[in-house]
Amino acid sequence: MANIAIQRIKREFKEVVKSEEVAKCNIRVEPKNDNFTELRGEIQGPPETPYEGGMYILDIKIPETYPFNPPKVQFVTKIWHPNISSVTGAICLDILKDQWAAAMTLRTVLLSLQALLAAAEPDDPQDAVVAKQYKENLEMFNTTARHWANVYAGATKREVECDSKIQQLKNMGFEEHKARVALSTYNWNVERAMEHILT
Amino acid sequence: MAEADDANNWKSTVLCRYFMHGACRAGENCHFSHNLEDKPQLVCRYYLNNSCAYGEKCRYDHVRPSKRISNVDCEKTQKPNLSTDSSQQSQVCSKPSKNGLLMSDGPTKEFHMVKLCKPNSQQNNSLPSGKTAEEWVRAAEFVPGQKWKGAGPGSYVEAASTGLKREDELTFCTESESDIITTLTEGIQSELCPYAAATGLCQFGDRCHYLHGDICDLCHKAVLHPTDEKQREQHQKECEKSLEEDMELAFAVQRSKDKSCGICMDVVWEKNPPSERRFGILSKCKHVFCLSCIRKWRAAKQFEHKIVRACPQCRVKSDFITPSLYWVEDDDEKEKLIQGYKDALSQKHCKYFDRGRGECPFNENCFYLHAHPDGRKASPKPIRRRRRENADGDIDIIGQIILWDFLEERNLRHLTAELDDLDLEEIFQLNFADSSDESDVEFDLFQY
Repeated sequence: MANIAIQRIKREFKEVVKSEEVAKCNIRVEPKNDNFTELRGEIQGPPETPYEGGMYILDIKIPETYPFNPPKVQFVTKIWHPNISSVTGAICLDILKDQWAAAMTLRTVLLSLQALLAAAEPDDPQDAVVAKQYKENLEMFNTTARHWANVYAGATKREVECDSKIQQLKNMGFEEHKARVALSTYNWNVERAMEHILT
Repeated sequence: MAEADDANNWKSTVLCRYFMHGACRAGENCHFSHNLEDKPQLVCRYYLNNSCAYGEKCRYDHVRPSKRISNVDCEKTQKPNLSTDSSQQSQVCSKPSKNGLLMSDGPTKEFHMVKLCKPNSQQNNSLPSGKTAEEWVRAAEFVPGQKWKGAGPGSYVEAASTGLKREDELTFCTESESDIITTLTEGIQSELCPYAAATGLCQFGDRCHYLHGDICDLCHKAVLHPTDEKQREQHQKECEKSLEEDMELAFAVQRSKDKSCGICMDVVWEKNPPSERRFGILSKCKHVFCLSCIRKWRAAKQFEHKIVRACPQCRVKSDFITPSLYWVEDDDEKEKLIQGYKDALSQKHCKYFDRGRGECPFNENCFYLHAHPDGRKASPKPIRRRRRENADGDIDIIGQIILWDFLEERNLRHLTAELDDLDLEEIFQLNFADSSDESDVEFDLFQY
């Protein structure tokens, strides 16, 4: 890896560790390997959103051409969000693509992602299914997102109704995650979800 | 005072020897002429001391300054100017020799030759009368291993410093010449001693022929002329100016030394190699970047033009960047820096325009010089517009279309395929990359 990339990541690493966001446990970064090409990031679900209380783990890959090219970031923790793929965790955020600027840092990227969780952009979706629900039935979207946050990101708020419907499908012999995806997609309509899984 | 002016007047028509060789530190204040048409006055000082060992072969002029001769007992009535006519000078100066007085060093040299090669040969009548063969016989004995204590100087340096002040030669020094020497000394006495001025120490102390000036309060050097008010004023002005410049530099250093680049995050002045320690000043914002980083960012191809043209911190678009050793933030200073940069570039020939042989896409907005070989500046080419009416009757204004472009494009398609995303600026940069460090500039095509 180019010298400038390593140097900068090491510097940024120190910057993130010292930053007040870390002090408030909002964001965190730790290296996965010695040469800092792969990092593990963590962001807290922003307050007053369905993601509140959840902790989201991110996979960060630093390209050799960093900082002239953006880092590759995706969610490891499963999340229900219009701009993040519920399947792969891929993120649709302009600064991680064509709007990147060389002066941006890991800290700004993580804070931007936190801001993205607070303000979704359904018109520029990564996950069309989630975006559709967001636009057509925001209440349902919030419930689903809260449920996913509770199950995958450790948020404390439980969606009892969702849990019971999943249990229902589980009892019928369906795999839990598959059942959750199907139910989430079909607005927690058990029959349609079952139909979808079977076809 | 009048004496000093007088002494300076003859200098004003004499070409300054430093200027003659390309640089004079005194600049406009130099007492000597900075007009290349004036002749340099290079009178051999050893000759004046009657001790030039080179004689006629000396590269300096063997003439006496004629200025004061006319005042004294030479029959010349009009005042001959020192630097005007050398034949006149030699005429003046050859006068004593007509009277049988040997002033040129030619014979002196001959004398040396005789001394070294033919000590027993017949005495030449033209030799100085005092030195006869008998004296040769009486010469000090040469003892090996000891310094020879002969009459002549032991070395050239000795000769130069003491001069061959043989009694018989000193007798040749007529009244007019001693007057010349006095005049020269007087001229010297109106000048400041360079040693005292530069270091405050002059090894000759009170015996120095030159003036030891008063000490300047600002630079603490003995550079103020005791009587020349104009010089004092001039020096004080210069001193204040240089002090101001020093202060500005100190501020610039203070400002610059801990600034770190927003891209590599290194402190710019601590980057390695030291050639990297330069700022790339954006014209429209005040964010700090080192020159290499910001250039690399602006050359990035993976992003849209407007993204890389913008500051990576604030996204304000700047049309060009200016290299600078110091960090510049103040608007006025920045303007000065940019203007200086543009001025420097405008002295260099544009490689595209190629002194009229080529075409520069930047046209009159190019920072580089568009001039023809005869020095004539190129007038901006008018932008040719073409109108085209489409099927709906709307009129489009389109740019210049040349058939050759199409033909060439078709022929070279396979070649240019890989150069497709290389935009004009890059070509521009590549082209200038080798010419000089400072010369690569980036800016947009304003007119398109």
